[in-house]
Amino acid sequence: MENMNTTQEEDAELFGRPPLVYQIRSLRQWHGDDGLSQRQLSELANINERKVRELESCRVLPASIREVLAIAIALDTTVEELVIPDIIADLHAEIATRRLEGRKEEKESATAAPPNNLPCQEV
Amino acid sequence: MNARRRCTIAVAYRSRGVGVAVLRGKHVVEVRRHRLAPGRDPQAAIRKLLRKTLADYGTSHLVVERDGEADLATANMRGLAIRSLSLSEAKRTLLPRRDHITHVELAKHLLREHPKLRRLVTVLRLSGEIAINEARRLVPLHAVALGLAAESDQTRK
Repeated sequence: MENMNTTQEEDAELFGRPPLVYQIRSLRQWHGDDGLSQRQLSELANINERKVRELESCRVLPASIREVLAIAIALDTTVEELVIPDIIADLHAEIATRRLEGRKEEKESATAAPPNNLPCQEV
Repeated sequence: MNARRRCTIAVAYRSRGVGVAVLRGKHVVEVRRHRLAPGRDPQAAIRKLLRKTLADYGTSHLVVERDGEADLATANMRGLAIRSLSLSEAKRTLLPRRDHITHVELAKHLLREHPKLRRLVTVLRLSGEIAINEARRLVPLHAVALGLAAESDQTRK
């Protein structure tokens, strides 16, 4: 039986915590036909899987990102448009290559099991 | 869509499976699925999962299945705006012209209206039917149905 005081303390703590700042988890879940796992996303973006987890659970927007966002909003544009097109194009090309390679590997190791990227954790 | 619109969390429980759906209006933001470990108290586990999801989305609006484990689990939780709704009521709200709606009919309706939800269930390759042999697999869809029904009700009011 759960201790009642603990429940109330936890409820109070719940509303003291800021919400998640990024919508990565949601975007990842609905991406493409079957969604992307944290590992697949980290491989595509070429960043550490732990970093993806960190970003997904981040509750404070880093000051540097806030500043860049503020500048973009002040200029009535998006963050992507603040960056010179070459860098964006290079990143698009890199990720497209990795995506293609990933699909090839997937085809090669295709098994009978249906894809399902919705995590089902045991709690 | 109003970006500032609050999120609603809907939860359903069946056969040691917990489905948690996060909705913003009629938009399904995220669906989480959990399986309870053997011997784990469902109510304590549901409370813990809900606290985390409510905190993640900074909301206090919750929809639970009437008289279900989640309803009992949230009875003592303070500061929440809880709406309890039976799955039958949700079915009637989402499919108003139909009687005796089965879980599969509900699931098919949800998949028609929100094709992206197909990834939550197993669709049989040959027949195209939804596999219903595991009640746990449909739990996330029940949560989505409860949430959508609650949101539809509010829209109508």
